[in-house]
Amino acid sequence: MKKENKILTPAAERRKQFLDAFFATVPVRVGFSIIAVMVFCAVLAPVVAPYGPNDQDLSNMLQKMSFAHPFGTDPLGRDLLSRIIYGARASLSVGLVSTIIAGSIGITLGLLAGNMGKWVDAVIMRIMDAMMSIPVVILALFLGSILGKGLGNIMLCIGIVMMPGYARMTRGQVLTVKQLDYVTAGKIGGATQIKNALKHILPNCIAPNLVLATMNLGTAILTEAGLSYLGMGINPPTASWGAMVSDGYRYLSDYPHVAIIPGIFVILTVWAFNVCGDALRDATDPRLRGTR
Amino acid sequence: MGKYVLKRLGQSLIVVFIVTVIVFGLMHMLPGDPVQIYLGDTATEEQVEYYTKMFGLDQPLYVQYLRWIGGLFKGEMGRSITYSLDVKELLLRRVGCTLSVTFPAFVLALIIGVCLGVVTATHRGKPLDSLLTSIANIGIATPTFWIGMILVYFFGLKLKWLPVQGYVPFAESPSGFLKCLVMPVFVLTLGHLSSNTRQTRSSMLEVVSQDFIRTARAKGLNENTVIYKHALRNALIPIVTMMGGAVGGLIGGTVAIEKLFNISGVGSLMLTAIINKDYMVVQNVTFVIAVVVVLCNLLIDILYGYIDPRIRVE
Repeated sequence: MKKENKILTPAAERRKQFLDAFFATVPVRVGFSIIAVMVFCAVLAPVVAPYGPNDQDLSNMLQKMSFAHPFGTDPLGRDLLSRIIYGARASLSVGLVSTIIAGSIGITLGLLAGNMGKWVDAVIMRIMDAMMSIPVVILALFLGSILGKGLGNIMLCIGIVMMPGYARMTRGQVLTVKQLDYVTAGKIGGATQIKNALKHILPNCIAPNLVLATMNLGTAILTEAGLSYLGMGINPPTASWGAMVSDGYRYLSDYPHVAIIPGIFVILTVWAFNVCGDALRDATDPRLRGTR
Repeated sequence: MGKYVLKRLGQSLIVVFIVTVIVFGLMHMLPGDPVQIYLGDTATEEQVEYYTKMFGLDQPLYVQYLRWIGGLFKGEMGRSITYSLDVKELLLRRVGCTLSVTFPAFVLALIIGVCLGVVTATHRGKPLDSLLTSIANIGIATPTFWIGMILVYFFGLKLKWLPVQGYVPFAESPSGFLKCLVMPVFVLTLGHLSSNTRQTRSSMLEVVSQDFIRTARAKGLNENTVIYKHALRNALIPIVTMMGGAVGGLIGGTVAIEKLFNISGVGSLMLTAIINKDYMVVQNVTFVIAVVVVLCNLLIDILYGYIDPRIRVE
């Protein structure tokens, strides 16, 4: 390929460097494509899916793979492919919304703890420590049974469970950034504590949190699948990959595909988000490039 | 150093205290009355009243909380509503199953994970590294219950090599005990093994690029000494620091595994207890788990404080 010698503006140059670094490896390109396809299918589910997710056809239950039903049908005769496509809606929206909830509360708490210091810091961080010493699944089960089943509640529940990670990360970042000269300069220049925190410190805490968020998208999807498997997830008959695996378990010996296929989609999606998260971290921190 | 230990100890106590408040609060926010759940719809008002009084649930919340904490100091854990048993006894009865799954998984994941991490780091960029790292990345993304199910399908249902589910105590039949643990332990190991491999790899690569490793090589030390004595010892710090959290993760992970393999351990106890609102069981078991996690973190921190002065200063 001929190398172009076009002169780019510094901003465009940086953007190009970033994108080159991000898309450097094959797995990232594959992962990014998987996410793109999943998002496309999830958004356009009614158009893409060949059947309705809850259309029962009891004369065609537990079909093997065929042209009419590429992934076969489940015990109620519902088309598995259609349910997986609608399941992508649930999984992706749980991932996205719970990560936004976790990130926004966590970053705010971390910012408060790091900037205020003293007892505010101590109180916030000890509560975060306490939340982190209860296993994720158990805390999620607690919150899940208080809030009740349903998509919105699961998002809130997983969001709360993941929050301490962001608080810790942001607090650590704030403590480092606070020492830097330009923040001191801002203080001398007369910036109030709030302005300093929001305009000078916060922007420097965004990059690592964005990386954490990308990886947490996968974790959130995995947690939702686990909760649905334990029967504390999204309400049936709404399609959810975890619940589909759990429902299919009973038919495992004769119709293994019913339980196995939805699991493969969980793996693909979580893997894709993890790979993109790794690449994002390496692209934002050149020192780490290729080490993970 | 004494001051550091005291400070960490104080922090840990506060964390445990907050855990008790969180758990107690969450438990009492759960909808539904545990006595009603236990007695069913046919119970008369007198029965409900009698049992509510017996379990002390008619008292104000702060009295119930103080009673619970007071009991803990005396080593008492109250009675389970669903099982009509002392919670301590129930826990002791169940903990064996859970430990026989989690302990081997913890050890295996640590040893194999660190070894694979070193192998991938020393073979960086070569096919072996790519292969193992890809497998680890897939391993992290795989739901434990799903991989467990696949194993049940192949080894339990099709090949019939291993029992599909259940748990046989060691005293009853050692070979049966081992057979029924193979799959649960493998499944629980896999996820943690993958994350340990990744963590060791990245931590090793970071250490290997530092000056003291170049110095060690320049001194003419043998490559094995450089990797295992100089690099690995430093690379292990972040991994061991994560172990406290890993203990919690393993215990949480058993909830799904015990359900899948139908093992009556602590995980399945928690699941049914949360559903039945069995206050004392949930409160005490969560308390014990949190204490174990906090204690692990504390021990690791103090240990490293002694070994590595850099941590003490921070």
